[in-house]
Amino acid sequence: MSKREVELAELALLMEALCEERLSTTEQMRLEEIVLSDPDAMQFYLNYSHLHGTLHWDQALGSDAMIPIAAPVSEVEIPIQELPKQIRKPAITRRKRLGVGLATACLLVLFVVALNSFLNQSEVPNLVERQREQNEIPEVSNDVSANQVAVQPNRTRSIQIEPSAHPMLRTQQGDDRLAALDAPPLVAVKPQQLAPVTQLPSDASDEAVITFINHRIQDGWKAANMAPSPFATDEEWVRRVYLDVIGRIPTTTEAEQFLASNKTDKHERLIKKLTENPTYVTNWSTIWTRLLIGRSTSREINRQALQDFLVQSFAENRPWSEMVYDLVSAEGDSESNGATNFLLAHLNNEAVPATAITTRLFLGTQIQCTQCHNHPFNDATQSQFWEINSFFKQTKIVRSPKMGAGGKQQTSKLELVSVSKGGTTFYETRQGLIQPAYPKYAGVKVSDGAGVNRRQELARLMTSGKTDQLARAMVNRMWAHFFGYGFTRPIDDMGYHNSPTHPELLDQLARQFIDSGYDLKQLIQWICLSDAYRLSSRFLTDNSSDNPDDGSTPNFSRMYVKQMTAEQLYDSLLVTANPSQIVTNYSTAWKKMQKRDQWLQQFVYTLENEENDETTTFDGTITQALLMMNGPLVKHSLDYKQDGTILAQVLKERSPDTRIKKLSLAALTRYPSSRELSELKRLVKERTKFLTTRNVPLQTAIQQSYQDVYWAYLNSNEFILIH
Amino acid sequence: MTSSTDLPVFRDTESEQGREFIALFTKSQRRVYLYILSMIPHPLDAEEILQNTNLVIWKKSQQFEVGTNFFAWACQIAHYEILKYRKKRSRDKHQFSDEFVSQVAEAVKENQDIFELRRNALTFCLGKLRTKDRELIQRRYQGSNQGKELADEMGRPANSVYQSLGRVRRTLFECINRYIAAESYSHE
Repeated sequence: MSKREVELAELALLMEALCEERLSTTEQMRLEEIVLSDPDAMQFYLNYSHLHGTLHWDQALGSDAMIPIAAPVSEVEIPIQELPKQIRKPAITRRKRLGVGLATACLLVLFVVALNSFLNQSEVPNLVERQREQNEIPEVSNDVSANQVAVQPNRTRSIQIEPSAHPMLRTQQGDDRLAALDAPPLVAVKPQQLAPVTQLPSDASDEAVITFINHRIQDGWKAANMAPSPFATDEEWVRRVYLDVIGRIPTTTEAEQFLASNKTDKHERLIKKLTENPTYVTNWSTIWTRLLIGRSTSREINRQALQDFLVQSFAENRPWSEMVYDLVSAEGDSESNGATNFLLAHLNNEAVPATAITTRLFLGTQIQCTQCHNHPFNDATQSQFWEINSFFKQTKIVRSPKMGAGGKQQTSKLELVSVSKGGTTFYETRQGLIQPAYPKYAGVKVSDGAGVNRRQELARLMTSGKTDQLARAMVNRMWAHFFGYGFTRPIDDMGYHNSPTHPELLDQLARQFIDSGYDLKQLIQWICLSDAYRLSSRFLTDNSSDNPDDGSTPNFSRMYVKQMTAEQLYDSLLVTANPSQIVTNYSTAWKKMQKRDQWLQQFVYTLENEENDETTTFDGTITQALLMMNGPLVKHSLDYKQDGTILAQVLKERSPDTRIKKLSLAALTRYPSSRELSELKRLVKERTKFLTTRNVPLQTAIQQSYQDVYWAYLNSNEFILIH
Repeated sequence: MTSSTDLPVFRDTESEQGREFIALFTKSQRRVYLYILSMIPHPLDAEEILQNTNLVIWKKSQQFEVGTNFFAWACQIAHYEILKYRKKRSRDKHQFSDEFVSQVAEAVKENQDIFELRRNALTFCLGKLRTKDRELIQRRYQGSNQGKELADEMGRPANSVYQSLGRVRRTLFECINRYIAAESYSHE
């Protein structure tokens, strides 16, 4: 097939998705690219769209009299049964009559196109405004411009990440935004392909690995011609590392301990300490429970058993490869073998979700779309999907009723069983042919005989280290956990169609990860001790283009601001209430985590699709904002009556300065700036005065004023962002 | 209504001009709809835009000069409605780019004659489908059941329904291409 034929075939697939409104944003961009690159493709697009639209019009609208103004249409509309000959005539005469008008219309469109390309990246609003001056239909465009005032174009999806609203960034922001407008290319140059000069030996020291990371990241800066931001302050760094490694902000004591230390290796010591902290286990087991079975508690699997399995694994720091082996090959019932719950949750629908999630999570490869057709952009074929799928085909879920108290059946117990049955998987190709698929992974074929346990074979092949994809996927995921962006975007779609931003770094880190025996704590230490992880999140003029939020390549020349996850926020708010009551140990944490999960359910929606996906509204929505302002959690943090709460302790202090400093440290892990301090003192004074004039007793008035200060700190963007 | 000029001024349907306007209007409906759909690929949203376009067409009916190109005039109005819609949904990532929309707008107007031929061919090709496939297409488009609902209704996995729909549409598409090719050959 010629390149054009391949593109048209790809376009046909994209059009299919478009007709069923299943086109992803990337696919849509690809569709545009193909259509605009080739007149034939444009024709193909128009014809296909015409077919889809005509079917819709004739079947849904034409026949059902659902047309806006129904009566006249049925009179004039040409009935479908009429044959071509009768229609072609009017069409031709119409062509003559339409000639002049059509030309005007085309001229107008041409004008728009020319204007558009002249204005380069001008958006619709500009376009409309310009047209209004030239146009003969003034009223319509008036409507549009009225609209324009009401709807401000806003491309940033999350309100929290808007840098100008972030107090940490604001000082730099104003100038940089203007500077950015002058410099048109917002897409940073990709780091150049570097010759593989440095290759780490398999027994490289930690220092060598960290230096290697630093060098590769520096190469990227050089190639993109940008300078890194300075190092973050210790206050910023300690908060960041607590949130990233154990999932909550540090307590005042913890923060002060680190800040006061003047040991030169205090950063290294802290990371070591954190990976040994019991909350490390709670945090990472929670992260992976979410990834493996989602947040939604509706499925009838044993979440606690799965988390128990993960807790034990993370506590022992078991090699990642072993954990994956256990999850993929798990057998037994959902209670005694917690690892079974991963597959129990995804074996529905012909094990299609299990196939997709296993490859996506552990191998960073998205093959779900090859379920129905060959992958349009990489070399994955439909047969490969079903070859992997057939590894799951011996697996059955056995359901047995479980007796509750009083002999009443309460729940059913699930068991994951591999039947020793051979056989072939069949699937339907796009031509409607039924094709067979045999278990096969990375070119290794496994016998489809009855005696072979296929899932064990798959787990063995995935974790054997023969291909490093398992390690690459985990390194990429971990990097993205700490930096907000991985080496590929998205992190779990790593085919050759999606080349990594720092290929050597990814290769070598994956290699080192394998050589370390898939040691997760080791990997976390390497990443957290790199220079890049130490950088401030502030923009400089030299790296204002390093803003992956707008789609440019991440160069890690500054720390990208991340939003707290719902779990991080919940746990951090507990710290801001009463540090003596925070839960550290998993064995006592489970009950509290149940409460947290209940709280989380208000944000979680299960998407009704074949990959068992979920989405949350916890991303800077109004719901979240209201919850922060009025919710019980924040209220809990504002309690000054109960002994031991932050506020109660702070109010015991004598000077207003100390009070405000302590509140600031508790909420934001930093001391207030001198301006902030004097401003807040003034506000407290005024507020107290105001309240006393309203006959509030002085003592209460003071308490309420500091409560307000704390409320404001907790509701600041600085609190909710990991920066 | 704030001023008297805003009041919709309907054409006198008794006059000859009025009757012609209505005839042109009704006849152009499907084509304007397809024009919109080529830039806004959501059938229901496209219907809404058509509704709004119709309102404007009625309101401005006096401005239309009989004898000029009605469809081009209607498309111009539709185009503004499309821009308005896009403006409103500017946060929606599932929107075509400005560049794409303007290119398509241009191309679609040049293809009106081909579209007429293709529509007739579609009638022929629908007739040639296997009964099962024709029923599937009818169920998909009548009341615009999307694949997902259709699958639930039929008790089949969603993916297999998507696949079948895709296959039938491709069959129709290719049948139309062959029909058009044969037609143009027989005319030479």
